[in-house]
Amino acid sequence: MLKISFSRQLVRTFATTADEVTIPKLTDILIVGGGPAGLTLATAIKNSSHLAKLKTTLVDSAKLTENVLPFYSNPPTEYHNRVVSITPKSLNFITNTLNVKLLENRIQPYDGCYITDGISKAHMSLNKESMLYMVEIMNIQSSLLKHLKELNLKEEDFEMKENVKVENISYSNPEDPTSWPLVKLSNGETYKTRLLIGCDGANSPVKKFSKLNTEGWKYNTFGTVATLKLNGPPIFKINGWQRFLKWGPVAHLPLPDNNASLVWSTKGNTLSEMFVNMDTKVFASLINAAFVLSDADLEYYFNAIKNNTMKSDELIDDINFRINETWDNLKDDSLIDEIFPPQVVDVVKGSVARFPFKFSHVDKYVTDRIALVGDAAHTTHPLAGQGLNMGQHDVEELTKALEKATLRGLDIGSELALEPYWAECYPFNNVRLGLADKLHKLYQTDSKPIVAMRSLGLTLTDKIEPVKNLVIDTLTGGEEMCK
Amino acid sequence: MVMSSFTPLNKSLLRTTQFKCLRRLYHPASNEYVNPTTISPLTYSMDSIQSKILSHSLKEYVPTSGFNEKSILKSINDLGYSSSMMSVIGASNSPSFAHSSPAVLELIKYNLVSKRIELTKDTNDNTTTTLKELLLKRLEMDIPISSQLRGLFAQLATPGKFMFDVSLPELFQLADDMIFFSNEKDHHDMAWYSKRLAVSMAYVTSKMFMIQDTSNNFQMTMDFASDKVDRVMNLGEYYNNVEEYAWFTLMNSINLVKSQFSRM
Repeated sequence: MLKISFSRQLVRTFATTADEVTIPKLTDILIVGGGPAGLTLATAIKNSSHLAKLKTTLVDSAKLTENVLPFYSNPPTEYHNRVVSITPKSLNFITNTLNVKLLENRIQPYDGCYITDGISKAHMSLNKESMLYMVEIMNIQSSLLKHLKELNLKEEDFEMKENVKVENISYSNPEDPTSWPLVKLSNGETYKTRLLIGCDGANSPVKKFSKLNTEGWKYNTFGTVATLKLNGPPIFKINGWQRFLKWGPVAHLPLPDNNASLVWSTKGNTLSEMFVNMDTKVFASLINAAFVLSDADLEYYFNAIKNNTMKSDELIDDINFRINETWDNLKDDSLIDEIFPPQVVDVVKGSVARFPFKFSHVDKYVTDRIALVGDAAHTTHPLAGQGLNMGQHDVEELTKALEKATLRGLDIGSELALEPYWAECYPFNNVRLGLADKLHKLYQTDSKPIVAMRSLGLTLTDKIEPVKNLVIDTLTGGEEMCK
Repeated sequence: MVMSSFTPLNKSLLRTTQFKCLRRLYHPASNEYVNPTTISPLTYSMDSIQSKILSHSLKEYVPTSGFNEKSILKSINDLGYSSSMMSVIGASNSPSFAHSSPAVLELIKYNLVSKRIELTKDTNDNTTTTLKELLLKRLEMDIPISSQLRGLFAQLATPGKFMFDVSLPELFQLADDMIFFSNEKDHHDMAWYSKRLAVSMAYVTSKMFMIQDTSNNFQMTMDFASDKVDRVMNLGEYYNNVEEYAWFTLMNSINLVKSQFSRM
């Protein structure tokens, strides 16, 4: 008798515990991260006739509808400082394949890139009409969000979980790595998903869970970004400008009208910190100086600012004087517009920010039930402007792999279904990551023989058309924008 | 490399106890025994008579008369011991036909060991001392005997038992101590050896430079030494970067091949 009542007690206990565990919601695809990669992927899945029926859930820690979506209907007057260079290939994918309407008046196509060595006089001029496009990341994100809202998807097809964090990921059967992962969110909900996709950036929790190994290193380099105000829109032609200084490359990239965007990468911590805290007028003249004056001049100004030996007005006058001196020494005044970027008159207040650069590439993008996309799989130095484009290419290929798997009746979460995505993207990204890394290594030194060699290389590339076209093809994704 | 055996100094003790968890039970447990009072490779403690005589001699007579029996003898007379102490002092060194007397060799050994111990006496665990500071400090310790360095070097570099048993091990031990007691990071591969070798070389060459240096307060030696250390550090950085890059390229190539095989 006693025995029976005891075992009943036991049964009851088990039953109560089972009630306390929330029953996980089921979903086919769970995307962690609502950045450009995550949102494009969600749109691509919902756009595909083969994949649209798969239930997709997107999780992001930010309040996307509240903070990002209004950008589309009510964009701010000043340009955002997070601007990316996007290739015709990526733009084609977003606007033509996915049929997303970006805010076109805030996109700036540009027809070339003028690259100079800061130590020698070597230069290379890449020219092609509408070679690349400058777009704000907010523009891409808000346009994708708007597109997703307009599709009016039912909740059983697509769900967006905003303002929630991923708290924990585990396998539903800890013994079996092919079992569906359970994703616990900060709002208490748990999702059980057929396929978990990490679009959650460089410090990806999904990557951590997947135990996929990453190779790479920190660059010990900070990038300073800012929105610039020019003395007028460029007259001659719309160009991107990049100069390799001994501290790192500085890039001046066009935005519509008299706006431009700056990415200045500098070795170590101190310079970027100085830029962020500097008076914007002084920073504007330093940017002008960075494209015209020599390394020695710049070093002198950096020291003057660091040690406070020059007043702001004095410094600006001095820089202007030396820039004019350089201009006067040119053979022809028209060269000014040809080889130097337009003059910066001011930097938009509050737009100066800095972030560290890291080089990383995951050994394998996929494993059972998990795929990594975008920055979660690879991060790069922005000097070649490839970061976002690699992410877009990842999305395109992953969608293709999923489509093929669905058509063949494979389980989309199986490694077999996902591997073609890795096979397609690893070599593609490897070339671009390697290119940026090698350029960084080549240009971070001021040793004379290396400078001489790289200058010769740059000049030769500039002179030999086929090589130059190959460079342009790599940078632009080898496509032209179809209207 | 000679690993430090048990010494009465807290830091060295700490170093041995770090491996306590790896201790095999049939080995004597260091914490169950009284620590030896001698400092290896010396066979007497720091407050012994030998030590008193040798340190007095180093301080008072070596700077002027050099490393020889006269310096020791004067010191013995000063302290009022019997002159037979000379043979006691030299007891641990075997007489060699190529070398000076065993007592002089002991004086040289004492000079090296006591200065090495002195160098890291005040360092603690979470030290911020740099390798350069330690190297310069060690060089400064030899300023009083700077005029005798030529003789000292000649004795140390004479090929023989003494060189292999004392001078070279002491040199590597010094390099090891300077790395261990500074804020240098530790390595678990070939870099461990190359770093110690490079620091030893930097020390020896700086010492050689010191012999012929006539600048005020050996400023030129100090500049030379810090330049040397900087180069060692740069070289280390190059080595690490190359290793990192080579490893990355290897993994990269493997992954590239693997990714294409997955198509099959």
